[in-house]
Amino acid sequence: MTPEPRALSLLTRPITLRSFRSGGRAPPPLPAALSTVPLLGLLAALALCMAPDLTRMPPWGALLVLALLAYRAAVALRRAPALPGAAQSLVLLLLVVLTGWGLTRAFETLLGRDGGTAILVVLLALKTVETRSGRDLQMLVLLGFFLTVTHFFFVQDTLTAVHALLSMLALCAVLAVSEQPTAFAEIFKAQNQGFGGRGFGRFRPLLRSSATLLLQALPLAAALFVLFPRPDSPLWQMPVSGNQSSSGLSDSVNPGGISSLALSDEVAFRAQFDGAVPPPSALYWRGPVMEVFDGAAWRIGPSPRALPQVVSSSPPQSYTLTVEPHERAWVLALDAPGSLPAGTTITQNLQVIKPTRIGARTRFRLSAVTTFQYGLNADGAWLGRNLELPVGSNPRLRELAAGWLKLPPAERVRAGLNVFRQGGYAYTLNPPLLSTVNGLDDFVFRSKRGFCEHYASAYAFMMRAAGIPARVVTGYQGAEANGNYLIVRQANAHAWTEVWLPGQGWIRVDPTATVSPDRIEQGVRAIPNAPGLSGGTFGLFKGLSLRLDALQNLWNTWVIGYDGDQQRQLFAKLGLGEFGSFKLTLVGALVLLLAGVPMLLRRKARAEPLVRAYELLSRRLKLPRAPQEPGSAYAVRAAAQHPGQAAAIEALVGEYQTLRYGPEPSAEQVQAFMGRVRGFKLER
Amino acid sequence: MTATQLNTAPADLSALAVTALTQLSSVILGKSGQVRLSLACLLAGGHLLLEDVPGVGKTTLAQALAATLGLQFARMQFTSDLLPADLLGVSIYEPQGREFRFHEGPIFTQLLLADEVNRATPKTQSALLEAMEERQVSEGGTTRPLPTPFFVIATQNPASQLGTFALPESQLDRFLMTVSLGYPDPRAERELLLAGGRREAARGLSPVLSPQALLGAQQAAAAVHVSGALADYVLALVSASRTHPEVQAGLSPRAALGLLSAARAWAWLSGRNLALPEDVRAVFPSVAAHRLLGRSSGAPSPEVAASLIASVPIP
Repeated sequence: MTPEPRALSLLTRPITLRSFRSGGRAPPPLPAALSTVPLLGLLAALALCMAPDLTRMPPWGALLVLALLAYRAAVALRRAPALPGAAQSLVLLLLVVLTGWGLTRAFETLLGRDGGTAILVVLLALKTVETRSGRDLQMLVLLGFFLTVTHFFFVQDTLTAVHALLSMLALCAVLAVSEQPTAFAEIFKAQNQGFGGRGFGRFRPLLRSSATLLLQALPLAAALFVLFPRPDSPLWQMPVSGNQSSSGLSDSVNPGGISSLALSDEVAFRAQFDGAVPPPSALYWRGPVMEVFDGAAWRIGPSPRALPQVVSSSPPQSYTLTVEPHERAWVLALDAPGSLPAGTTITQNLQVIKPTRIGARTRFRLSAVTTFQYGLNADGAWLGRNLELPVGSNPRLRELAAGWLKLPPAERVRAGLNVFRQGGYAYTLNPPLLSTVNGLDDFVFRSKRGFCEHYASAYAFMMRAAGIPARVVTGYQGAEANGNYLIVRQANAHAWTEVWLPGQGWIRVDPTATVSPDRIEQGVRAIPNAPGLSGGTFGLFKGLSLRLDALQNLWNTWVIGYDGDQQRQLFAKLGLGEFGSFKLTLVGALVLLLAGVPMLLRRKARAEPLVRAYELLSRRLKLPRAPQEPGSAYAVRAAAQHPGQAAAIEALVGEYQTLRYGPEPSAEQVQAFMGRVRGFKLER
Repeated sequence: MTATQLNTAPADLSALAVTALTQLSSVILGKSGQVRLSLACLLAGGHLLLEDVPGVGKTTLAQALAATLGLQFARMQFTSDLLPADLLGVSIYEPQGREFRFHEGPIFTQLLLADEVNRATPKTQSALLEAMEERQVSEGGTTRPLPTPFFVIATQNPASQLGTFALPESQLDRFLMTVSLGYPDPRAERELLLAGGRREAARGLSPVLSPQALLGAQQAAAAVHVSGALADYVLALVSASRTHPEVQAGLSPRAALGLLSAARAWAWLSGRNLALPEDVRAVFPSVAAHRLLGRSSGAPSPEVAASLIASVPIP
């Protein structure tokens, strides 16, 4: 027998006028089969599942959700009155409309990731209010599982995985308690023993049975994880609200742009070298290259789409780069890229670009040559662009650089560095405010305090004024070694300069290294009295934090990074190499179908023909029969609905009762009854 | 009573049962449901426990049943100083015959009304309940069978009243049904006030059935067909009671058997020769309520019985 809707259910059934009509015609009100303990457990488990969503919702939404859960708990504990059915449905409907409107205002749309999960959370909380039966509980637990999965739309780190595991344990425990109330009854005799009695040890049997449930699901989950076809490109793009800002480099450099990053411990990317790790002084990870200066900020210029000519004088070193999402197209490759990952291109400025922005954690296989020359045959127009300065800006710097014009180019480069080396300059994260007009003059001749972008900007400006093509390169410098891989954080963001010399091409010059060599050798943390850099990864926490990051790296490598490519490699190793993704999908679908067949057959076989005939009668009558409703009561209800056919209905139900509960009927008798039910038609 | 009435065919027996019901309802006003349950209990061969506050007609019902069924009737008022021998009988030395002779106690009857059974001490209670189960009395090395049919109708005041010994679960289980009469509705009570007490009317009832006819009716009720589906329903109810979180212990197999025979008797009283789930549902609260003791209160919980009826699906 199919379970029929038991309670007036707003979320699972369309609302009809009849839902609100009171009186004898609605299905009889059915019992509160759900006892208090599983319900309270369900509320707690759902609160756990929702916790991450609540932090992402507008505060009023989170408060509403918590209030609804608390209200349901209070009703269960008889501390609050339950609303009568129709009034409750109206209130819930009103709340659905109001929160739907409010969330649409807050997220712009309910279709996207943010709005969608928020409305799901609200609907779940509303559903708890009208939860009465065991079936409602099962449905909420199922939705709880779904909610747990949705957190991976936002973050895919180990913390989310741990949260998901805990949520699933809690949900499985709720299922266990609701299915076997007596088995765990001892645990909840809190009022008899006092809660502190045996502590949390008494929850162990419950925990064990819930963990068993999860472990049983593990093989199937693992098989699906490994075998389910993985597309190389996302099947659909998650719409993300536009007001999100993710930290990382930007496409312009102005004073303060990078120093704001220097305080961030957030991981930008990780790199794992196949062989030896290059020395820290060679760890320049290239981001956008700024070739246009407008007097205040440096910007990316139009880059010729021609392959750069790189002459390498060291063997390529292979490594794997795992880039955190930064919503840009830049692949932060180590200078200079030796080979490119599939699906990326390289600009003539040596920057590796992905055609789409990196919106999720992505892995790249690359190689790098750390000793190289490039841009030897740069064309004049390109070099000319790297000499352009806005008219009249920073006259004192221009005057200083004009004095070097007589020197050979290599000497001019050195003269520029000498300015910083000998002028009493200092490296600081808190530089004094500079004048908005001729800011670089102000920096070089007055404040002499600055961060990497000040030095890189001022140096590139001086070189251009001295007739040497120069530009600012942004990216990351250095890394933190953790075991066999490197962590590069936002704090490693850096800006340096490249100058072009005839016969040598583009050469990296890092004026910051002149002022503060420690910054390059040991990272920004090495700067003494660098303000704002306390706590976090220092001291005792450092080791723990690095260990957690190692865990995160394993997770990235084996779980997040398991893509179509790795899957193909695995299948090749297993001798299934010729299986294309499409064929695999077909086979998988077929296997699932075949697995479903026995279940379908068993379901069919279980319902006896007589019971099927009875079910058909209730469908013909368009009146669902509650499973615990005896035949006579059903006949009365149906006859009241269709008074014209009362006699026929009573005769059919009576015949069913006789066949079902009398002496074993013959197959012909059942067949004849089925025929009469088929012949029954509702009169309009 | 004529000879033809004694050898009635089953169909006529059923008609007689209906007559008996009508006659009982004319004495016990406004309580036809409880009267019907009591009759079904006796037809199923079970003992009946009437539980209520004093003065709502428990004794009258017992007397009316005895008179209507034409049974030999004895009444025993249970008190705290009642001894088992007062109930079962005692062997007394007779000097003339130089032997012990057994003097039968009031229990040697066809229908025993054990009034206020919970006022007696546990010792006397268990003597009664043993006799109820075995339908015989063992005394001085001799086993004496009790007359057939043998019924006990016990009445009981709610345990909260002073000076009572509550029957333990094992002994409550010996009673097939508990019926609670409750206060009469105002119309019936007004009639009662105008007509005077019903005790005299109950005593004066003429028998509708004879003991032999009653035995025939019991056999006919026990022959009512029970299908596998119905047994499944009884099984589902019983096992649901065993996993119900709010009771100390679920229904015993004896309770399940009793439930089935009570449902058969109920079906037979309705003139059917097959038992339906409706019959099980009709007798379930009476059969189950006194066997399902609340986990926290320790008292019988009719709410649990009602919730089981309302939640267990009918196969």
